[in-house]
Amino acid sequence: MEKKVQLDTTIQIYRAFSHSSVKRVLVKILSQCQVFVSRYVLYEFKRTLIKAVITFYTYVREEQTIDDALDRASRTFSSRQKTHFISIFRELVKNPGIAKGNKEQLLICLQRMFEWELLDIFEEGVSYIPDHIQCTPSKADPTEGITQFIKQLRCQKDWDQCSLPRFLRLKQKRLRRLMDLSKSPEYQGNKGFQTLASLCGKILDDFNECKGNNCKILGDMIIALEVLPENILLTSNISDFEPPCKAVKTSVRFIKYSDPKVPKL
Amino acid sequence: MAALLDTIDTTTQRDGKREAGAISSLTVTTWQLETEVDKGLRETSQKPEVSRLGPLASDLTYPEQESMAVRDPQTPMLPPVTALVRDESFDSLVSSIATYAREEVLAHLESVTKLLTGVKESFEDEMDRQILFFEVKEHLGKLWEIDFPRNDYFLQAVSLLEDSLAYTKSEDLSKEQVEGLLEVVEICKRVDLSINDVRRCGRILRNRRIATVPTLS
Repeated sequence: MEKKVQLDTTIQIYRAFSHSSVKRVLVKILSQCQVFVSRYVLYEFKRTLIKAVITFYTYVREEQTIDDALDRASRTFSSRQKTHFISIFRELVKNPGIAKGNKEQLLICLQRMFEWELLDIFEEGVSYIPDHIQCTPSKADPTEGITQFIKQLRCQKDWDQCSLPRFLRLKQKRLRRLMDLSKSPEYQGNKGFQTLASLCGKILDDFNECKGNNCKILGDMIIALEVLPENILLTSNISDFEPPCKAVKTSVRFIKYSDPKVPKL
Repeated sequence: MAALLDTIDTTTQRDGKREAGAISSLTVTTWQLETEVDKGLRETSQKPEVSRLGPLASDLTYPEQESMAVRDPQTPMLPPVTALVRDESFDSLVSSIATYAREEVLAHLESVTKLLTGVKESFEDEMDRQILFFEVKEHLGKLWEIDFPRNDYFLQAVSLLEDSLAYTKSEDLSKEQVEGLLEVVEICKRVDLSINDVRRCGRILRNRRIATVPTLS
């Protein structure tokens, strides 16, 4: 029987931009499996990668040279964004015009990327799982202009634009399990997991606490909770995904970026 | 543009005594754009009448007056016309265009305010801040494309704002500076500005350490 895998945001990014060895492994896995993805992952993809491309686009527009734009990007982007960004730029410099410093050509390539190309790559060969969270920002459309896109991606605690509180209410037993697991000595030193667990405690008191910025902190747990029972979650982020997947009993396989191998599914 | 304006001016209409039988006493004034040849032919002693059409008609001359009273009665007459009070309709047109342009300027400034408010609201997210701040710059630049009756001090204030944005990078921006920019946009929204208003804008920007000229920093 064909295996079913569900992709997290990093794997979706690696499908587009990663080392050839990682791409080879991904192609092998994805060609053997039925591949699924959630709308929440789409939201994360837009919020991280597409927004980073737009940000770089604005730097290039503002600065005289590509060099100066790169300098600003290198100072502003977080380490994870920088990693993504270097991958993107590595692809871009394959264009001889951009390699020679043609700013106009770079702007056109970036616009092409953030308007449709990256989203096409995201959706290629994947099916969406049923959307229980109904995340409205995941519908943000970059073709409607960048200001509009940024506005559509926004989320605040007092806005009513998703069913995440309802979704988490249904999964509250698993949230409690996660809190219990965070107390074990094995995870005492895991700062990210401790933050996640303490937020889960607040959410169990008031489910609306999950909205707005907190939704970003909960991201990995939400992705783990969304995985369908017959699916296996595929991610490269071991430290962030291992504890919540263990707590909520989600099947997960990891692809190590530095040593990519096809995992046993 | 050979015959730009034909204005029919009737003394009877002006007096409100227009009758069908009195049409033979109409005096038609034909206004034409003066050609280069006309210019050469025109007597220097001829004094142009003062135009009632305002500055747009300043290039117009009306070299000849043709009295319809001397025409052949068989010649088809112009149909009865309702005299247009050209000066008033033109002025109201100019005024409505100005109002429209003013509205457009205000709408533009309002969206700049909204974008700057967006910058303030999503200040912690560096990418949001950069993208929205970039949009503020783009939006403000478009103000120059609006054909608007110029108030020099308004334009000075807009250029001050534009320069201050050009020399400020989103990553160096503080919330107080955004407040300052919002204050300046509010002043600009009054449109009819005086030199003191522009100076106030300059003071607000300087007090918030927003450079309006390139600096090494």
